Amino acid sequence: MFLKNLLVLTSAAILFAPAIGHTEPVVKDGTPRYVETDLIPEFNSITEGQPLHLAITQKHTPGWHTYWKNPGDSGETTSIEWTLPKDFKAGDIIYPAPETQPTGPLVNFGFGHDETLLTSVDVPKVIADDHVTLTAKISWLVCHDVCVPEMKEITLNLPVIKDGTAPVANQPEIFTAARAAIPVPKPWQGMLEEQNQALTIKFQLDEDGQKMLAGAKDFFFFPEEWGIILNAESQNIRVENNQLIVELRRDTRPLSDIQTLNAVLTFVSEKGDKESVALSIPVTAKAVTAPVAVPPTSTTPPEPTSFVQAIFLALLGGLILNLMPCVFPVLSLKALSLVKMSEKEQKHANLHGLLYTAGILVCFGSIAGLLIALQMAGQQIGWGFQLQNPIVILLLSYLLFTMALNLSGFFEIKSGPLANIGHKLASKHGYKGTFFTGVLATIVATPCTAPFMATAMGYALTQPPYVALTVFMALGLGLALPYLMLCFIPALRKSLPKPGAWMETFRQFMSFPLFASVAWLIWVYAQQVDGGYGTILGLSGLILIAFGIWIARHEPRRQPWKTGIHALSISSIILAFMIAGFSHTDATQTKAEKESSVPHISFSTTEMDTLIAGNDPIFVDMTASWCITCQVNERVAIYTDATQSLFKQKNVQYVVGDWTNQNPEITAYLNHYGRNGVPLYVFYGGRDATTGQRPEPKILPQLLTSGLIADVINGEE
Amino acid sequence: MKSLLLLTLALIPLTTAAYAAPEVGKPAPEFMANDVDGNHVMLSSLKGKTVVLEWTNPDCPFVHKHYDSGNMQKVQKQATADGVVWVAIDSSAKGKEGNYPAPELKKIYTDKKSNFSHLLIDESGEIGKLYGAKTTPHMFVINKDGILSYAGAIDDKSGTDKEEVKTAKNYVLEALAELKAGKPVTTSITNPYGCGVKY
Repeated sequence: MFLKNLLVLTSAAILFAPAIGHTEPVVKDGTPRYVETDLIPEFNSITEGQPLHLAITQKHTPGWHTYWKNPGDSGETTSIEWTLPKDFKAGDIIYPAPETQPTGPLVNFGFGHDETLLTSVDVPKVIADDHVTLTAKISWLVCHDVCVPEMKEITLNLPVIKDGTAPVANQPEIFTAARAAIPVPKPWQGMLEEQNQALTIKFQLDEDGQKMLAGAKDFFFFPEEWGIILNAESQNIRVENNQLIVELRRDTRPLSDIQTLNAVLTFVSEKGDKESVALSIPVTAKAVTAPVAVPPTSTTPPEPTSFVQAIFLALLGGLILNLMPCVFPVLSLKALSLVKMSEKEQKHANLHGLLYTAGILVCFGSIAGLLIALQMAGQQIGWGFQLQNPIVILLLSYLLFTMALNLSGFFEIKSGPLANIGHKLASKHGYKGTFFTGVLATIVATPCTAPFMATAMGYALTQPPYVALTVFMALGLGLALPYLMLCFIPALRKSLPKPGAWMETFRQFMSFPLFASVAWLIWVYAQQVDGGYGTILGLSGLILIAFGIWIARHEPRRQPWKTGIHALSISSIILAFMIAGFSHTDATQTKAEKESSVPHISFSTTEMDTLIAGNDPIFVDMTASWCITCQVNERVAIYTDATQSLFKQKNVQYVVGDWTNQNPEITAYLNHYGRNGVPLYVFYGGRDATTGQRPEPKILPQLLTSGLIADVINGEE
Repeated sequence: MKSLLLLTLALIPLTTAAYAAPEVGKPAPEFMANDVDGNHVMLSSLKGKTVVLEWTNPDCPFVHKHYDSGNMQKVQKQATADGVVWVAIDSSAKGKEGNYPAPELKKIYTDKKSNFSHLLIDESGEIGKLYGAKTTPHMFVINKDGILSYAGAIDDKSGTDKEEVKTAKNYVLEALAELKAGKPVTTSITNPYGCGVKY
């Protein structure tokens, strides 16, 4: 059948031959072929432990082309199916720089003339036999205006050299030429920018790059990945201020599909030589404005949350936030200060309650507004996005640390938002202070996510902005509610314990939950920043803060000492802030994962596709270092012996996605399940042997137990 | 003068957008044509039904792979039995490979025992360019609301070997099953493989 097709196509091609001017295929060993292919080993022998390089030469019938790694709009790249002895391993195909092959409105990437591809085979250190047989089934597609798939099987029988004699090179000129034609990898730093349908990549050129590209022309940018650019659109590539600027038109495949954009840039040098370089651009290095690979209008979240339900959950989540270790100390002390208010001062109390609520709502509104705006601008971010920035983490830890020092009695604050904590609430004054206590409560609450919050926020961020804002406001109201009620209902105030000397002790005691929060934030910070210096940097910052505060308390009366002490205090605090300013994320390493010693698979979209295509059950754990619930769940329910042995027994593939730093693939996955933050646990049941189908993926609750996981895996839930 | 310049600039994208793929998740572009039997086919009148578009060329080896193995017919049958409207489109230009007069093209596909709902001849390439169809086969799935829900290859095995269809993961069937269950399409964009459309 195949031969018959080939014959039809061949005759069709011959029919058009005079018009388009290409010749007939070469007939060799009985098969007509448009491309004559050969496989040449670099040496006519094999040396133990030394990889063997091979050249695949392709001689074209004029007018016919074969394809590059990324074939462009159509076509198929050349592939090799190896049959190798035990412990031999085939390497990738290495291509020379491609050319564009336009046909009508389509543009393909390939080779319209003779070319040589390179590949290699890894050879084991010890080979028992004195001869080895390597068989390569090489398949390629060759096209003119019609396409013909061709294939050739080539067997090499090579002697094994064991006595150390030097191998004899086989047609070295072919290898020299082929290696010279491979694009040269360059370390030029590239930054991606996507706007509407334009994709701009700016490369910072080093000295070598500036020299190489001076006076160069006829640029073309070949991406190795399909679907990223419109291949037929004109490209605007130029060198400007030591930058190589590449302007392309975007195709529809989301950028979040790929982690790195590898590409080949071809050009004609000032001297008139054809040259090419290989470039690599990390896609995560720049704001990715990728649409989620799910049609939005047909998206039905797995658990449709209704508006009312979301509001209720947000309110509940906000209420629970009051009990979190970073918030509770602030609020409990603020609440206790109300006790002293008499009923006559009810009006003032009401006003305090309202101002405090306003402070929270304004702050919540700003954060939510920013989040929604960034999302509408196409950023792949979710709740907790602020915590993906180490600078924010460190500044938060400074803030909590200062508050903790204050509570512990290390120093007193005389004005500002912190001033009212645990102190007498002046009946007519301190309104401003109360408003800012609300703001402060929101800021210190951000690292904490309470149960029920995730569902509400996941819902909110898939809705139009006004719905999303309403949900966030409900969350803020939940946070404000306990204090608000104490302000408005005098009877409630009366039920609070009577003030006394114990309050000072309580206040000091309350510094410890704050210190604990600081310890946790420093731990998160250390995992986010480059190298192993995170801990010492963060802790040094804290010491500087403490020192700055301590020395400021010693105020000599006379100059120049007074100014000197002030300068010392201020400069140590500035130094602490400089540490924060210098922290950079280390996006390439996933620390929460590295930290876990439990066997797991790192999450990526392609990995998930492969796993889902397989038969084994899959347990997906979306986590982040700064998510306390995630850490607790992992320690209490996932890393336990019971769960781990169950995973082993049932062949469950444990996939971990680390969202500690930004990761658009994980954000897209969370969105797919109607979530906007971690944790998220999803279990995919194994493929049914009889029906060949997998059951619906199950979303697990955000608070896990070993028993609950076992029930889900055993299908008893 | 300035506004004239702006107007000209604004028109540039329109003129260069002649060949641009529609985005998955957005409404599929409207088209109408007569099929080889003379029936009028209009996308907007198919609202409420899931629609599959299959770009085809009877002389392309990749199309042969799927028809000679019976794979395409099987997928068509399964889809149409579920109420899906399946439209096969041949965008080969006059004089190019795969271009035939209507009765001949109809006979070729009748002999192949095809199970599609309509077969369109798009000699001008108008519909092909509207959808950014690159290859044969290039597949598009449009949901009941007229939203493009899948664009790409028929399956994940991009060779021409007929044996491959047995182990391949069929993206179109997967997308149809998910749409039927009221779920979003998991794999909604893939790399279409095959011969270039002969515009």
